[in-house]
Amino acid sequence: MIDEPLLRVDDLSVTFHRPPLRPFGKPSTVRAVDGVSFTLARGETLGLVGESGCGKSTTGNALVQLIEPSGGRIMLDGDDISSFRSREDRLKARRRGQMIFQDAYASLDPRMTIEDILQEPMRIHALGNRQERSRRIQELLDQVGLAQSFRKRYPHEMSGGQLQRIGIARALAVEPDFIVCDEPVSALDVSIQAQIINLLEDLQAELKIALIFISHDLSVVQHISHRIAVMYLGRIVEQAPADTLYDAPRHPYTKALLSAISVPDPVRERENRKNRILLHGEAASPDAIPTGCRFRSRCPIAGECCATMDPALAPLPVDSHHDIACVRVLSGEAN
Amino acid sequence: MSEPLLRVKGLRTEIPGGPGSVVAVDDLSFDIHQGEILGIVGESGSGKSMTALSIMGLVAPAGRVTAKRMEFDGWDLTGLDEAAMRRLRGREMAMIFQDPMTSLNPVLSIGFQLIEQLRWRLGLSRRQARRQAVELLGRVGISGAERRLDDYPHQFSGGMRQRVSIAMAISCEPKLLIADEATTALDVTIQAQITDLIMRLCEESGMSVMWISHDLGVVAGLCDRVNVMYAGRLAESADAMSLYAHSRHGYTRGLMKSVPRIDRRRQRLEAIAGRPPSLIDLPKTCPFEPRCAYSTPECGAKPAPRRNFGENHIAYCWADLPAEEGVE
Repeated sequence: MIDEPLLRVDDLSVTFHRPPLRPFGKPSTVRAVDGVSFTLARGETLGLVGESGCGKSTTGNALVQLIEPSGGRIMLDGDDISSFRSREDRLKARRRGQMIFQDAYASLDPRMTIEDILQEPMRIHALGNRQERSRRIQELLDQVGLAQSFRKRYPHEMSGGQLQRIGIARALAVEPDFIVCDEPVSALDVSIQAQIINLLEDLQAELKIALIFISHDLSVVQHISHRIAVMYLGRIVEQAPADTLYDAPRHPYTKALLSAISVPDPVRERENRKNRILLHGEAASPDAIPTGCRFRSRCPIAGECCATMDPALAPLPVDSHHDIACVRVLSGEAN
Repeated sequence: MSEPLLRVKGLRTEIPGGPGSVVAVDDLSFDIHQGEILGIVGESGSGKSMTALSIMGLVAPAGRVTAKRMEFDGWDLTGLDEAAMRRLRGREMAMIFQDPMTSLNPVLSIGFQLIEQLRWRLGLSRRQARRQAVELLGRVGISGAERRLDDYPHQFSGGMRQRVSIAMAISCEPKLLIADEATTALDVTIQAQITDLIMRLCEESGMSVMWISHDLGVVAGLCDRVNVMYAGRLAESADAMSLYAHSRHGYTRGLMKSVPRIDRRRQRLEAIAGRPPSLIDLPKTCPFEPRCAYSTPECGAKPAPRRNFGENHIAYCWADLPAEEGVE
């Protein structure tokens, strides 16, 4: 029997409404996430990659109920948390999915001490008494590798790397089943980045937490993820185990994205430069999504059928764990 | 060898204030030759941007720049007054910044900003300047340039805005272009387009570039030579091939090992422990010593020696680093 995944996202969509640009104009809608489906197993790391505006952060926000989805379902252990309406139900679901943000400093209240910051989620979810919470804070600081002396400090007294450790400790405080990490290392220096990535990996091994790792840095995502989903304009265009995706990408967008990654090796980098798939232009705007395939305006292999058919994500015939959304590749017309 | 375009010797940039003055750049020496792309790598606070601002003469009045020598194309930059500096800036040396939205004026159309500069700096007529502006936007890959000239910065995407600021920077055909984290805020596919553009411009016009970045990968592909900086000082300087093949400074080595790379997958990243030091009252010894995996007893006792490794490779480090592990 196959285990039911921890999280199953079905046809999730998030639409934003924008007021009209000029008086008496029409309000516009932006479909930031437009029919995204994936699963997340217990203790697994799913990487979400894509360029700015592709909807990866919006997806992450919807999973932890920071944004109301406008369609689709988010099933957590079989319960549709997006349909929860009562305060208690929503609070219960919130405890199980926590979040880590890119800008750790902005995500921490500057007027609270570290102790208060770590205690707040436990208080909100009514976990433990005063003593137990204090003991838990001690444990959390140990887990993220900070000394107990940080308890009485304020966020402005700490460095970026230390703040991100606090962000992680706060997410862990309520013992969640999964954590959405939205660009958690992008703002950090390279040497500190590695410390935080290692910490996340250690914590996952120890606590068996599932992670959704959102980043635009493809090398980092490849390193930390078990599976990766590539997003483009509100849709997942390719999804596969990390090694498969990097070794044998099939979607033309993934191929271009991967070929643009630079490696710290001048010889290889100069070689890559010649074979680099340069995409022309930029992604269309999510308030004017083109008909048919949304990637077709930049796609090197676009054909006539791409203008009319909106490709759905489907497994490759040769590998059922490798899904792509490209009519031409799936039909065997192109590689 | 011909005279370098830019020669810097003993550059020191100090920002006074607070409990002690911050030495942002300390005893830095390097050259940039004509047509060369020099990469400057380091973490935040390593002095990369302050080096650029010191050369451009943009540090005063907040800080004090001193140098034994700072010569650019025959000009002695240490002795130039502000008026003379203004004539050089934009015309002979230009700069692009990380965030084009803050370096472009949001209330003026990009055409106005481009044309104004062409008329003021090159003395072109309105019509000539407009024609030139259209041509420039075409060169940096903005389609429909004629039409887009009257658009405002907010009507462009991030990648397009960065192209506009590159067009502006190269408008007077500067001899030196300083790019400070110019592609850091951009998506990878756009980043590849911009670095290609920079390389093409260098080949076409023989322009020199100082490329400041923390991204070791981009620097590897773009730069001829690389300076690695730490805590305001030069740690290592070498041509790109030699640096990446066999780095000789503990910090460079640490950096290379701490980045995940898709061509060499590893179970675990080797992070550099600790964090960068405060720039107030740094000891004379190697500032990286407390974090270094290769430190020797000398490191904490005496200032690091300048050592030569081959023709174009220097490092300020006591340790003898082994050849890179894990190379196929």
